[in-house]
Amino acid sequence: MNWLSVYLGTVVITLIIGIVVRKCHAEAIQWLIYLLAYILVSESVGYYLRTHQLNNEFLFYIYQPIEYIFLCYLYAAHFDNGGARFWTKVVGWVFVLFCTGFSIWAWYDSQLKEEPTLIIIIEWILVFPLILYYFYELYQSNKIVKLGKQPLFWISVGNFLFYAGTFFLMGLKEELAKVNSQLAEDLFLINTFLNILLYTFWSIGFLCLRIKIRYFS
Amino acid sequence: MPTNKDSLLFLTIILGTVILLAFAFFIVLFIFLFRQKQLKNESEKQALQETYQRELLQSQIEIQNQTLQQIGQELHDNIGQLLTVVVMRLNALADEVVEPDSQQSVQQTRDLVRTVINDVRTLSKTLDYDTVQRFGLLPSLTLELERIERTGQIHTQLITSGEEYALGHQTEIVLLRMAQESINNALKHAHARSLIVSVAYHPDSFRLTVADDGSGFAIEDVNARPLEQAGAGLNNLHRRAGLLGGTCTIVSKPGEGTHIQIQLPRNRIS
Repeated sequence: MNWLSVYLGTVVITLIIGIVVRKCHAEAIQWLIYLLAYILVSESVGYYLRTHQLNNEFLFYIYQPIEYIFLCYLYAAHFDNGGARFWTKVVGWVFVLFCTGFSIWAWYDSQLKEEPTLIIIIEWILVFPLILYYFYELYQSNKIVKLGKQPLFWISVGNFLFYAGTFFLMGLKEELAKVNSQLAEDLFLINTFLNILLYTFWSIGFLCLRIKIRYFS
Repeated sequence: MPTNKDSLLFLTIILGTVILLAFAFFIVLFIFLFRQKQLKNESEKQALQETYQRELLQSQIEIQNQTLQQIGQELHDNIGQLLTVVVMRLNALADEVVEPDSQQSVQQTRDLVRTVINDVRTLSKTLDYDTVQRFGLLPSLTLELERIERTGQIHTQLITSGEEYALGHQTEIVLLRMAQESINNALKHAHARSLIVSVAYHPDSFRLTVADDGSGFAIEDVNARPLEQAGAGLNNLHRRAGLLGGTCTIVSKPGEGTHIQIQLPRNRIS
């Protein structure tokens, strides 16, 4: 089975669901539709370049800062604390500036032909505080909310599992590659499963306001 | 013999699974704790709302009591005094009038005014919060039913059962006002000929029932009325019973009278 096609199919389905139910959601959630469209284009271009033996690593230099700034704005829009909102945006733009600088350096160093591992790892490290702070605020809030009807909760669960899993996989891949590069590549297939899991949770996030959820007290 | 590659793969799978399970456990734990906190928040909010509703009801009852007490005092002191003066004037008039027909007429008028004085006194007593507080629910209900009986429009009956126990002044005044509202409905809207009020002191619950043989009504029709035609009476009964920690059941059908039952569990009676 071609898992990459399944993954791309999941992105397409999530994007369609997002477009169909966009009016149910707040503006910040609607931004994810643009991110999904961008992910689809980026992954398709990456896939095309890879199959034609062309360099596709440069896509990561563009994708990672765009993804992070989207996530920053998504979480900042949901934070109650004004300070947290401000610093989330500041960190987001600082990361974008860092990525720009790093990309310029990488262009002169390797013509963007090497995977930007540093950018990817920093982004993943920076995503966790956003998710954890969202969970913290959600837990601390005295509002009566139905967890299953919180789109960002489902999106955060997906993000949490995805970033935790890929962070572990990324580190492992580096170490495994030293012993057995083929095994390292094979094992990285798990990353595709995690991507499928991520967008499945995003789909649930988009749909949660439309589906009936039973609560047990 | 397992190769280096195999053991590395095995270790990786185990480690990856443990890590993913740990993160999944974190999510499950978060959902569990969040749900617990939400339930606590909900019960606190509900308790606050109940307290607020009780305080609101308390204020309404106090305002109602003050108003009714004022009306009662005005009836007793002002109207009652004026009517007494009217009786005295009629007495004087009776001495002056010599014609037997006129004397009889004055006598009848004087009796009528005395009846009115008695009615006004009884009415002022049932309106007076202090009377209810001093004598309790049953005597107040008896007084109320006697007053209505005297109008000659309706036959009333009070049935009590069980050993009487204290319900608390606040509860008793609310119950009396609920009974008065139910009786008033039976007189005003149902045109009932007979009214039975039952008070039952059960060991585990208290029950007050007002039953009439009036025209009755379809409950669903009343509930479906638009806002401008909707009366607050039935809702008030439900709300007050709920705030006392009990229930109010209204059974009625067109042509079959109305049966209103207020039930309070003993443990909720203050």
